[in-house]
Amino acid sequence: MEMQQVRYFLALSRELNFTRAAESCNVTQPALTRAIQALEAEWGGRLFHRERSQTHLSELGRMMLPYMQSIQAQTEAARMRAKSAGRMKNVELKICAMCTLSPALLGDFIVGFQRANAGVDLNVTDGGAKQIMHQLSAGEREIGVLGYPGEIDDRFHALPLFQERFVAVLPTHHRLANQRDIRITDLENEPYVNRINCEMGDYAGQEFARHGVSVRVVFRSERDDWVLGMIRSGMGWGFFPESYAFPSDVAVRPLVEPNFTRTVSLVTVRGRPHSPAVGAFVKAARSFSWSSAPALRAVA
Amino acid sequence: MTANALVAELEKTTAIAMASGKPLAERLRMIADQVRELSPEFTDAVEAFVAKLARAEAGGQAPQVGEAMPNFVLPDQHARLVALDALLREGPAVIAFLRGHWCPYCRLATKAVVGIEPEARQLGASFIAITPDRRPFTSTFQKETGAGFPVLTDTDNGYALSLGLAVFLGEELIAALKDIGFDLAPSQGSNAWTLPIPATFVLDRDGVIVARHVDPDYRRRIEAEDVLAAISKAAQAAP
Repeated sequence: MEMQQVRYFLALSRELNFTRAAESCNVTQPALTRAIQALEAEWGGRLFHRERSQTHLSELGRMMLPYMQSIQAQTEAARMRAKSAGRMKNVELKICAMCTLSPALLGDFIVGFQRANAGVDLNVTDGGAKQIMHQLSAGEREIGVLGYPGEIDDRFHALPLFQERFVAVLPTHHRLANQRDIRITDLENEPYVNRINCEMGDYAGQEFARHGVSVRVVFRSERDDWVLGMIRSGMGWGFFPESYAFPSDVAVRPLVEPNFTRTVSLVTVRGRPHSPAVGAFVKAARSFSWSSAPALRAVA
Repeated sequence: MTANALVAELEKTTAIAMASGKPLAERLRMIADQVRELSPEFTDAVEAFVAKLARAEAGGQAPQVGEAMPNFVLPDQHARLVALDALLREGPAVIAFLRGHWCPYCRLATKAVVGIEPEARQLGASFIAITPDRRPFTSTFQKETGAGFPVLTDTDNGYALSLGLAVFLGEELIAALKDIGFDLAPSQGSNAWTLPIPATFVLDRDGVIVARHVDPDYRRRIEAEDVLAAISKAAQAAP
């Protein structure tokens, strides 16, 4: 496939009209038609169906659309990078990572990025998921790293990085501490130590309610070290992402029936022009193999 | 035969071919013959794919001999950025587009290039491999082939597309690859099933292409001796 062909394909899938698509690309309609036909020959199927005045994407066309958008974005990024190489000097890149992420996870990636992009000054803060989304839309931060149950809203573009499970963390002498895994029904009315910043809180609460399990909150804190301290002292159980660096004197058990997982994504504001530093960061995140950390899974 | 058994057989043949000392073309044919024997259906899908690309003249727009290679800046297996223009300051360069660490043909072709690496370096030349694989798969590829040169990640084939070298595999070949146990999603970090047409460009120190090999039939590669001859030519032309 050629750049031009991809560009024409994207224009036609946007306009769904050969004349308008050709105009938007500044080419003649026959040239655009030929390019689409060449792609169809290469990909072995129709990309668009033409019915009288209507043009719409075929199934193959719909399947290819997101990949072509991504490949075009990468090509643009590759060009911008080749041009602006060496010119990124003292550019500040403001990132906000969700406070419930394990810093060790991001550490390797950030150190590698910093080494490869000495001209970028990284400024990383942490916050809750909602706070991060607010900071992104207000332009205070350029990239967010966050996990969120359910769909992220349309204003944002999310690039999934990895998935991780949630686990139950218990005092070592807890009656459930020696069980291989823990069903949420096992936790009926067990004293629970709540992490206020957990973005899964509402979602997990609904799941517990759906299974008829009542949760008895005995302590709440914004600070994970306090929560872990209370668990260690035997106050109750807690709900944590699997990648958290747990101390050795608590019991960590998988939660099953149901599993709780989150997808952690790089989040940017849709349609906002990005600096080369943002492009470099996104590209580095794409090329980093997140699933090599033991607790993580590649995004399917 | 199960998919895993097939991949294992192929690994064995690749190892035998690597050790055989035969010319590259013969070693590549050993793989192709083995694939045909293990799965005639898969070979049929490959032949159809290659014929389709040839009809579409895929790769025909890639830079020609005498043209300048467009600059790139891509991360290597340690996430360090490598820029073509910086590389050229040191001498001629060989740029190879490869399909990925999982491809036996790419491993054999790279291994052959590794054989001429010391001699080429004496002529001041440097080598770069470019694949759509992410880290750590680029490191795996580098280690398995014994390459002393960087293996760069071209995410989503962005640079390859800008040269007209990116191809979508098509539903039939995707299904055939999955059948014999290959999945590109983990190493590419995407389900796009897009690969570069394997290509090798030899550049003089001005970045002008002095020799190239672009073949939509990924089972055919340039002989390392031809690469070395082109490097010698490029090195002599240097001021």
